[in-house]
Amino acid sequence: MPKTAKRRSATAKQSPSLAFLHGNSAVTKLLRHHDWSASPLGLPETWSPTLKSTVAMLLPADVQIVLFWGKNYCALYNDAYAPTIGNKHPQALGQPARQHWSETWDDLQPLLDEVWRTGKTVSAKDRQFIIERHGYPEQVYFDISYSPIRNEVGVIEGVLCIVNETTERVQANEREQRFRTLIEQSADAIQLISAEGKVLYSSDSVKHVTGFTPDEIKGQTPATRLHPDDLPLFQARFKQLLKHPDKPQTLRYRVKHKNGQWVWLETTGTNHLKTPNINALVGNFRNITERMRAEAELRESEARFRALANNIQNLAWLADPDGRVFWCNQRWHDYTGVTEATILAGKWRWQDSVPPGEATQIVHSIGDCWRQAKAWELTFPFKRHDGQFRLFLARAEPVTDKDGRIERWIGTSTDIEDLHKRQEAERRNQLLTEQRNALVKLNKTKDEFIGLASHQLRTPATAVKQYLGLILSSFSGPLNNEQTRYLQIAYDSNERELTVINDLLKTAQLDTHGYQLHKRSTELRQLVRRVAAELQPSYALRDQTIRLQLPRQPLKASIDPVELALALANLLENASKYSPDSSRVTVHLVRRQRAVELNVSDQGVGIRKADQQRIFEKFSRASNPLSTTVDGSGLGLYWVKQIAKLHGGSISLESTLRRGSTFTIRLPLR
Amino acid sequence: MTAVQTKSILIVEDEKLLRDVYELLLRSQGYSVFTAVNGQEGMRQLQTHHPNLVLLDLFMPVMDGKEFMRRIHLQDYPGTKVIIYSNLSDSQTETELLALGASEFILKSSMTPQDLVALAARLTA
Repeated sequence: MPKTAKRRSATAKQSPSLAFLHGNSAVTKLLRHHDWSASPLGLPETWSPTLKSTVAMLLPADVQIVLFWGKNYCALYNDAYAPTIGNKHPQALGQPARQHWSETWDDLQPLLDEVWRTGKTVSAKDRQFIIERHGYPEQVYFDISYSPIRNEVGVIEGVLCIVNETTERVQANEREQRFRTLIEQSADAIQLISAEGKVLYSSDSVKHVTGFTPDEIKGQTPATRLHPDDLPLFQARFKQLLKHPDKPQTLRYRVKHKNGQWVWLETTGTNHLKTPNINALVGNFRNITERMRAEAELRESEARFRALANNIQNLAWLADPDGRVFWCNQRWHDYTGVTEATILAGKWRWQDSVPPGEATQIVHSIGDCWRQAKAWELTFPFKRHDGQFRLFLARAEPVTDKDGRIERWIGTSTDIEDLHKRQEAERRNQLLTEQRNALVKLNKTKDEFIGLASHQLRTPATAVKQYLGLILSSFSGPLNNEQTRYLQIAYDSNERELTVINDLLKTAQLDTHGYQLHKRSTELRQLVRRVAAELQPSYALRDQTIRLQLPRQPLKASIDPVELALALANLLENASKYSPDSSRVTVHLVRRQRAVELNVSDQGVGIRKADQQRIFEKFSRASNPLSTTVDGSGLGLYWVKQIAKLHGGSISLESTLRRGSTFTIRLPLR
Repeated sequence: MTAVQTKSILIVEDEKLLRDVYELLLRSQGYSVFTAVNGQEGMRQLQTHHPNLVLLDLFMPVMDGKEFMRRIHLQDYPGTKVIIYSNLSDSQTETELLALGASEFILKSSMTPQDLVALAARLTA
């Protein structure tokens, strides 16, 4: 059979019964040279007259036509139709439709069957099919008109399909629809404006922005509703846009809303005058009134914060979530000497402003707070512009948005160097006060002890004195010489003990806190004469003399005569003791500007420099080369000093070894 | 030593040793002697006996010599003189007591029996 078919095919051209395959269209050529042996249609010369005339009609047509012939819908189509089936062509030619439209057969067969069954034309606009024509399923659209082909006796033998693929148009429509919806739904509005500034088109969303519907503003000039202050800028930018089509312009301006209020718009204008299909200026604008207000509020609040921060005594700073400081108040700049430009350039590192090695410690201390967005507080030395470090207390708090994310850190640093020093000083002072109080208490205890001890010691010694005195004065009968001598030794020894006890008691008395002098107006020349007279006998024993240098006029002062006499007597006793026999001691009383000076000068052994301060202390005694016996309690000069001090005065000493000493009591006159 | 039979002396002294020795000494001089161990008892003796002389110690328990002097109003006892004798002399106390009528102020430990006898004789003359 194939053999026969081949042969017949080769001769088909010549056959006059193939005249209906006339013309030079691509499909016609294919049909003429087609191997019909494999087609249920059989050889073209055997086709029915109806088939032949239908094919002859469709082949040269410009419209897309496909004929499905016979019970198995064998496909025959023209050049115009071929592209719509892609790679199905040319295999589909003359073959049952089911084989080559298998992917869409469930959809196509009912259509064809309907025409066959009813004998009526089935037509549709933009009928959707899913076909595979380029190796993958494709959604395509056709306008279709399927009509029955009847033979000479009216029996339906095929379905003629005149189609028009509309896929591109449908898709374009869909795209446009989507685009439109997008624009209408968006908060942004779009206007097309002519070069003369008239509104050609507005998207529906213009209503959201300006309150006007697109129809209400069509043909108008937007500039007429602009805020007068913004008009010059708007017009300048409009000109720029016309002049430089490649440069879109973005600007903010106010227009009057339909409700009469000013609204802020942000518009990006693009020049599409030369763009095909647009040929207009495109303005894309949105209502930014809320944003402007929020920005203004933020600016205001920021300005308020900065103004406030610049007026506080502390250093203040703002840092971003990474810890980079981006703003500092004026005091901060003044203190550090770091300029605003350095901060803005991000060139300042806090690590450079703390002492070497401190940075690690700081990171260790606040690292966790920083990471967990918790406020922190830390004390550390911070470098001043001159390189000096001062102690600061730094505090920082995170500012978070409503979701808890850190927006920034606000920090303040307080100079606590002086406070710290003051506290240190106060601590030291307190310590010293405590120590002093302890010493005062100790001293008081000691004074009380001395007082009590002296009293307790003196009472029995006084009793000894009285009883021995009774015996020595023969109260209990006559004594022999030896008894008298021994008793006298005991008596003298007891006397010495009493002297020591009395000295201790006097010392305790002068040391007693709050000891009150009994001052009265006293003529000092008389006092000096009296004391000198009292000591005259003991001076005479060593052939020593007291020379008095007294003012001619009486010299009165408010002093305690008992105590001052005691002081002078002690100085005179000392002078005698540390001076050689036959020497002279001078008492010089002189009035100074606001003081009285009482000088006692001797020609004695003098006092070594090293001892000069010490001799005014309790129980101290200067060595005396003139005497081998140690007598006196070492309290006399201490009393002199205390008495001078109690009078608000002082005692001083000038002394040269082997030449003599001068003690000076200086008392203020009031 | 001449006895002066008619004169009386009150010793106000808390220390028994001293009270006894002064009493002994003064009796030997023919004085009539009363004693008291503190100011309070001294006041009773003073009111009872109106002595010619009071030998008054300063520091005593219960009532000291200063308080004694403040309370007795010495002007109410025209025939009585007071010797203050004490371990401690400070000029303020001395001044105050002299103002309250004390005749003498002597340091206890420096007073010899002869001093006391002479003083008593002088003040009771």
